[in-house]
Amino acid sequence: MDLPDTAQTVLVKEGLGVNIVGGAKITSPRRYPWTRRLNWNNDPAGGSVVDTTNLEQAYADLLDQDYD
Amino acid sequence: MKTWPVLFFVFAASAAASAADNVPVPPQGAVDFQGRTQLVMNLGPVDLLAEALGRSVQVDPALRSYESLTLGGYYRVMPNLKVGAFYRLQAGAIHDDDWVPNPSATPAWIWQDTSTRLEQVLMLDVSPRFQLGFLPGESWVLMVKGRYIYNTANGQQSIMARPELTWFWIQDRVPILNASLSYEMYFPLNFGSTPLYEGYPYLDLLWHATPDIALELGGAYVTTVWSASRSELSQDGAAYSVPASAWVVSLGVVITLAF
Repeated sequence: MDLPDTAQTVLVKEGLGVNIVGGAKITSPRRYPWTRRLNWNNDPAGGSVVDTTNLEQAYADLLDQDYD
Repeated sequence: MKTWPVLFFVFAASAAASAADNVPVPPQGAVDFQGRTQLVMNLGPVDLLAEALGRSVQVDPALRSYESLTLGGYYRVMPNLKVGAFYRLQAGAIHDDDWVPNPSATPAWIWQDTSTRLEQVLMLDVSPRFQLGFLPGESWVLMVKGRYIYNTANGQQSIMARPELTWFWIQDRVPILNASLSYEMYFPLNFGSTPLYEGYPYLDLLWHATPDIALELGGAYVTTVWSASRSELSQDGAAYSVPASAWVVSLGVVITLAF
């Protein structure tokens, strides 16, 4: 996968993720619901190592918000 | 001959005073405060919810409160539709039949103390929702919540309907704030004397402080219609309906756990 060259580096710890905004700016690492579900060991015995998350839906499924 | 008008006046004044005693008078300018904590567990198409809620209640000068614990969940049948089922244990709820004769005579009628009376409530919920992509920002959702409510303590059944428009402020794919405007209505099925038992506009702001924790601030102007209680009707009291209104300010914490 080709990643944009932002000339920035960031250390991403297990369970966290970053956002490359507009292909130019890297956000600070934070926990997202989908990053917690990743197989961080890259061990096939621990589940699929291929992430098929639909990122557009993972971030903003506005029809899946219930608070009461 | 002049005694007849005087006697009639005395009789009329007496009847008016008696009727006034039987009809509850809502407090003016009431402001109630509500706090709640909600835990949401997101398990794919299933959301499990647990909510603890407390609210001050003003029906007379006494300091009253209402508390509830609600457990249940939603199942996402399709992208635009969720169904839900909930169980609620509550204390301090006040119903029309809680307007009773005062054992100590003055005043003649009072709201009885319900602070330690436990009630169990069952609810079934359906909530279609649609994203309104034609509005500016495209982050708008219209939901129409319908909920059947059965109070096992007194057999009362009602339908709640709530159209709700929510705007989601999302920045860099991260939710920042939700702003919702809704109108909640309760239609009694087997009690009360008016088609609408309770209704209120509600403005709610939900700030996503962290990915897991959101803080809520809400305000509502609640109008409840009091109807004649069973005690009154059994004593040949006249039927009536009295609207009682109060502002409700709400603070809340919503904790979301995704698996």
